[in-house]
Amino acid sequence: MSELASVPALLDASPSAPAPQPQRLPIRFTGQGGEYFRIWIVNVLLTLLTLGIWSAWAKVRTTRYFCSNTQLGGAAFQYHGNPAAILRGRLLAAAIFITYSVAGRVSVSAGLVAGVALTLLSPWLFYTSMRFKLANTSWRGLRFGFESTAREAYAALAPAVVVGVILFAALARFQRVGAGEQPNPAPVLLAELLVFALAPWLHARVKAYQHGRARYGALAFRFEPSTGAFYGLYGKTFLVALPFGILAGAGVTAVVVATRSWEGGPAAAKAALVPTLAVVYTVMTLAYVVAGGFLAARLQRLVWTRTHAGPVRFTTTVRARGLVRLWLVNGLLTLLTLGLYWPWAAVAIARYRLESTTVEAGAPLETIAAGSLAPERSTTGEGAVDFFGWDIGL
Amino acid sequence: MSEAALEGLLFDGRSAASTPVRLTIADGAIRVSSADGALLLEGPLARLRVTEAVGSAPRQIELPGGAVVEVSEGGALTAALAAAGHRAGLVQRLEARWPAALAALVTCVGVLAAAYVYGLPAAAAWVARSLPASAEQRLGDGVLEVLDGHFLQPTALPEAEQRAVEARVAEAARLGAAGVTYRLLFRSARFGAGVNAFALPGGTVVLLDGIVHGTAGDDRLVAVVGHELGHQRRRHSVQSLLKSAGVGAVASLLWGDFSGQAAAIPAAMAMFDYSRDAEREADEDAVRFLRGAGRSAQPMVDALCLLQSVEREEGLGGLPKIFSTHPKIAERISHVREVGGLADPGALCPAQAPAPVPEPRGATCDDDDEEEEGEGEGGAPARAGATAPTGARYTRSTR
Repeated sequence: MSELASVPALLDASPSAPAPQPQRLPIRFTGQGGEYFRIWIVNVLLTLLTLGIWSAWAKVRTTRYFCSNTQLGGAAFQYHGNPAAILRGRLLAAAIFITYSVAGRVSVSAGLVAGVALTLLSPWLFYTSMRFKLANTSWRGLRFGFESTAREAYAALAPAVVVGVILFAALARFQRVGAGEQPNPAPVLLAELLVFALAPWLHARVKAYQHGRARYGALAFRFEPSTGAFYGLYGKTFLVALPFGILAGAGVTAVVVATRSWEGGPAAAKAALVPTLAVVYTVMTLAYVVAGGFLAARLQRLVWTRTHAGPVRFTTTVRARGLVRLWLVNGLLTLLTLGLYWPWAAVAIARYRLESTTVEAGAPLETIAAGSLAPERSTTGEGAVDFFGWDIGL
Repeated sequence: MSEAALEGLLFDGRSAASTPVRLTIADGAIRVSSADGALLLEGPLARLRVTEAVGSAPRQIELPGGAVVEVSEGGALTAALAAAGHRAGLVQRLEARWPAALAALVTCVGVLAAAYVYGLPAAAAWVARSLPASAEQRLGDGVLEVLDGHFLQPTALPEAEQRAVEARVAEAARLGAAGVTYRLLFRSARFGAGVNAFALPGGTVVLLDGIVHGTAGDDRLVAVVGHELGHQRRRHSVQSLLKSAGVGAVASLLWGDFSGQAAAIPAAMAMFDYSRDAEREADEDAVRFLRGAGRSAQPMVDALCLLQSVEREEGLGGLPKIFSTHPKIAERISHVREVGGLADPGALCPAQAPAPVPEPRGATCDDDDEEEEGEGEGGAPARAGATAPTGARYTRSTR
């Protein structure tokens, strides 16, 4: 189709009419559970038959399904990731993961070394992953991008790495007890307290880095400083989770009272163990869904209301109550169907989260010029980060 | 030849601006024209570069120079291309049809079942055979480290009793299993009575206080060690460890992005899950071990009877259940009688099987077979008259 060389010139001659007023553009999601189920099950089968190799192609097809069904202002998003590049990333991740888990089984110190190495590597993985993901996403024929360097990634994520290494070391110290020794929980508790106290700040830093370096064509994204808001959100999430802690305590007390296990000796204590575990796991799962859904919904609000790109801003009406209900219903159906409901669940949750978001453009989107971002071919990050299941979703 | 017309948006790849265009597919060619009918470009379908279909989502036709035409009716474009003889790939054709998707689902279940039943044990056995002894030793040490951290505590046995057990086992091993290297370790269970012994990769046999008390350190304990050395020699524990790692890997491959926690559970469940055949082999090894040491198979029968009585007493519940995965004991007892050349393979346990737990505490067990077995007390004398009723055959034992 070499006749096409003249097309851009032709387009220049026919300027599109600029909209004078700021536009409110809703996001539409057109995915369907049944359609995604067919894509998903074929991917699962091919992944099994190829001993995991297909998972890279599955990843691309899944991402493309969700991207292409996300529409904004009459145009869909497109994902261009190269499966072979993702496969290379996954193979590296698998090598790291196997080294880590084998090291952990061989000895605690080898596990510690592997864990610390992995932590030290994570800023680089995060950076390459963001670069790969954004540079391979386009909308209206223009690519997104992630404008940063590995040095910047390490500067932004250094505090998180330090805290991670401290936690690893404390856990390793705790596990490394001889037959006669009683483990000393103090270092682990201190390290966990440190994580607890710093998590909102670390999270704010990661989001500021992630959103502040993103680009769309020539348009650079900005992220407002929001450490205070993250502390507020984490505090509220703690308050949401607190009643479940009390409920778990009450449930365990009830089991102990009901089985009278304090007077029965070891056999009765054993009999009480199963109901106790059942109560604890049920309450923990509920707490995870309710507090986790609350955090996810409020985080979406916090992050997107503080992200803007030039004249473009975002608003979202996502509600914690709505997301928690979706998680509960869809999680339950997925459990009851042994995972087969998963595609419908994924589509329903994506629809809710995407369609609750609106883009407000203070200037016509059509006038945004393309920058000169080179197409991305970097490999490892995306596959590797995806393998470890770290949530870095935008 | 069929002809199809579709609406699309042309993006030049340099700005976000769009131009509405009309696509016509006919006579093996695709034409793009502007809204007012002017032909923008034309090219043969054979050289068309178009993004693969994912369901009915919008598709993009890639033009030279970075421009694209986006067709929001992706399904209509796919249909038009198919009608014009431009066949979609195999994967997309599978995804497009419900019968194919359901066939894929059935095949998935079949593949998983076959891999679990045939593939996993074969792979684990192969890896276990090719694993160097030093790696096996380190693997066992790692497991012991975890067990010590969570499930075990130091033994309460007096030094003299430990030495006596070691001497008795060493004397039997010298005769019955010459050249076999093993290491005995004494521990006590954090939860429950712990009438149990197990072999770790690398030749370590862990004896819990409960089993030493229960067997009174006599030949029944020698039989138990013989059984565990059988597991060790046949590398059963390495294999089950490898199998659990394999199950965990597949589970996280399938549900990895769904929940890493859930993926870890089957791995934990599969740990030390020996098959019926593995137990049978280890039982035969124990009989051979006893014979080599100049004893009859009777201590092994007695040890199994002890485990059976413990099992019935403990009933359901308790963490160490993870480690109690032996097949039906009654079946094993008759097999041991058979290979051991003892009279009457069908006979039940002897009446004198003593109770294991040293504490005379009145533990009230809510056992489900209470109606068959009036007394639930753990005291040794109370159990003396108890014969095992048939119901007891269906319990499993702790090792």
